[in-house]
Amino acid sequence: MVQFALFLVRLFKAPIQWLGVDFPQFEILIGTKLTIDFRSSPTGFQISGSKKSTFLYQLLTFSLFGLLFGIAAFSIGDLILSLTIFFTVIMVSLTMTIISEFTSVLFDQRDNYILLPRPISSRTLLLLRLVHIQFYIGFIALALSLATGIIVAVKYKGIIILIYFIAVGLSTWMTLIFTTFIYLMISKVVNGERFKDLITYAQIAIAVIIFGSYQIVPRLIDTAVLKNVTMSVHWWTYYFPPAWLAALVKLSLFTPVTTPFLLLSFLAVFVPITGAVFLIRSMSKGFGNILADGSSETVTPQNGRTLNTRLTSRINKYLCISEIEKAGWNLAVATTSRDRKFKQSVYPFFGIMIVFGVIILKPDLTNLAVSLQENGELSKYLFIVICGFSGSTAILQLPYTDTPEAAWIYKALPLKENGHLLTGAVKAILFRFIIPIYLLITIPSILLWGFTVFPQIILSCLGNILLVLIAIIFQKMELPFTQVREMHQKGTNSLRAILNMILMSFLVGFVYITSSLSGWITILICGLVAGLIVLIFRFIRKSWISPKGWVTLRNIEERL
Amino acid sequence: MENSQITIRNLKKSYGKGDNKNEVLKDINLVIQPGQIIGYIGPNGAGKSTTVKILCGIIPDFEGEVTIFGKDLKTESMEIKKHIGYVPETGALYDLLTPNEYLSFIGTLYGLEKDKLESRAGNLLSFFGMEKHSDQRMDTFSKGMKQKILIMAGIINNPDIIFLDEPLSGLDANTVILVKDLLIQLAKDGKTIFYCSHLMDVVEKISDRIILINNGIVVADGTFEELKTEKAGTLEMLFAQLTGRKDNEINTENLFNGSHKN
Repeated sequence: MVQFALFLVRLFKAPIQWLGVDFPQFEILIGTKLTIDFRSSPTGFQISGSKKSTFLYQLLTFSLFGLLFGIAAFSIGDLILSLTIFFTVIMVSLTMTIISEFTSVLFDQRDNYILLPRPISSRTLLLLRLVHIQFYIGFIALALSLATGIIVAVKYKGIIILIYFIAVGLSTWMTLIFTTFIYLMISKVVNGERFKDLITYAQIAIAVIIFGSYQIVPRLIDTAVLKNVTMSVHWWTYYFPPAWLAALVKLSLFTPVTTPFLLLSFLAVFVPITGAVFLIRSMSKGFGNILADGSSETVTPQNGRTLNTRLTSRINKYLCISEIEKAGWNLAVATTSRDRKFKQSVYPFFGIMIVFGVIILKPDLTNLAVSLQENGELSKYLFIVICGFSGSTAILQLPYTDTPEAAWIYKALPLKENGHLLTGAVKAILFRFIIPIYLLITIPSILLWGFTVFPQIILSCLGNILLVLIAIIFQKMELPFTQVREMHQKGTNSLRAILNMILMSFLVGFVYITSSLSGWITILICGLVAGLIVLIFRFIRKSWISPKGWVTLRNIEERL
Repeated sequence: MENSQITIRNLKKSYGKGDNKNEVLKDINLVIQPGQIIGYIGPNGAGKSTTVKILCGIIPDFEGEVTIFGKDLKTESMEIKKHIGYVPETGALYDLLTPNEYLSFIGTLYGLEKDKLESRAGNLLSFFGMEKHSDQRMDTFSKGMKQKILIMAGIINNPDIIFLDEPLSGLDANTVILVKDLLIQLAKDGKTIFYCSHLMDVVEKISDRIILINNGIVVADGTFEELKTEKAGTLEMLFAQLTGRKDNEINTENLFNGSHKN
């Protein structure tokens, strides 16, 4: 696979050199990076061995989603319109994946001491990072577009399938360079630590805007009208990249085309190329400076103890059953409040949650209270359940760190109760990311929908906790901060989030059913769920102690 | 001054702003001639590693003027980097590669031709007694073995100036002797060695010139013979005297059982 990637890279030797990139350096860098990725653990391309491939599962699941999108998009009669919608889905999905999972790869500073003392230009380094990411998101895009590709090939035949996949490649590249461009523009305004902080918040903002428009805009359009509508070229079409790509694919049908369609197709090819040229030739110096910022071990002092972390650190004596569990709690609070990569992976989901809230409740700003009160029962419970979504995403990030070597401490200490560390950390994250959200929505919900909704809020909160604990058991979660964030696992978070949401839909149904029962019965169910949660915590703690427990310190031993 | 290989004028480096400003280097001025072994020492946090990272082009943002081989580091760092070598303090290498692969990777980044690269990598691996491990993945290596690879990678381009940040960390006694002899020989061949270490006896023995920094400024600069005094007959004593270590009596009972006062 590395050789195939290098073969593709060599095809672009001349344009790469024209960009001012040292090709022999670039070739060895990308080859080495991919070799390291493939050696780090079995990936989707090395299915042999007992370990199951997460990457292959990811691709299969993305293919399934692609199939659903494809069927939906091609139920529309007009090819241009269906392709425009389809490419919008592809580009939005990729932007979300890049923002939440590949930003840390783009600005990875872990190999600064290897690369920066060597005579490598910032142009070479920037192109290296872009192509490295392109390799992974290219596969995701391919999986997403495969089903639609088959529909297109069967329906239209001919050269269109080739042009279609070229357009998919261009959409991936365009998304990547556009996101990088935004980041580099931000870096021109602020630098150093502030840039890193800003990136985290920009990620949330971009994720909310893109996801919000992606979810809300289609709801404004009447789907019955869509089936018979034909897309015509307006002024805004020239600013809408998915329309360019759709026009390019349409061009391959050799049907009579108008000048605007030719112009749109031209933009589809011209913009990714000139964008890359502009980015590499004019903005790479700023990229080099961002990387160099990470080479200083001396950083400005920061107050790590905010009100939130102080409060969380004090409450543990009431919620933890042992000193070891408290230690796990404190470790999780301290690390997650300071680790930027954790924030980058988790915080965008808080923004997405707000968007979900808007989509579900459809608030009418002219008459907010009445519009919210008049919401259907299902929307109401869907909103209440979905509030815990971002919290569960945070817990699934617990095992990952940039410094897995520090896990030696678990092995060196005379410690039998490793499970307590995990449950302590899980409790801390629940307390930081799920409980506050439910506290926040309780009063407005009671004011809007009456006190009868209170048992359902409690049940939703407990249900979310139960779901995440079940996920921990099925996933056989490792101890906190012991697993390296590996390249081939990128994309998993978005996928897990989607799977979590499917599980949540069952919870919504359950909460909805309980709403027709007496409040006391719901409270009784809450008691049972709470009891189940206590038992599961106990099970997790015991499983770690037992020699036949599901998890061992195997991964840590391998690393040490 | 005319033949100087490294010239540093008013070098300053700080992080943060306002109340959070941390001045790591306050005003460093140095002129370094070719063929010297410079022992660059100082307490933890004095600014040694920051100086080296600036000189290697890892930290491009600094105040002051630095010229290496007569070229301005701020504007011609790419040209300078071709002729310098760097051995970092941390185990910064891609340890999923084999030594052969890693040295080949680093050599290619310096533009070495394949034949020359292979023979040079083979010679270095043999010199450090690592040839039988040349095709093993480095993630199974000990700290000392990885350190040897870092030294090899730092000199594979046959640089004119070699920056070493704690190069003897984790090495066994025989390899320490080997590296010391190698550095002395490289200096005799006209190469400049810029050497940061906390091992005072090694610095004292091999350095032509010792530069001691504390709190971001140079507090002593000269040969060991020039710097030593009646009260400070060894570099370790001189270091303690100039960096203000107090010879407190150590009471371990207090250390573990005493109460802490802020």
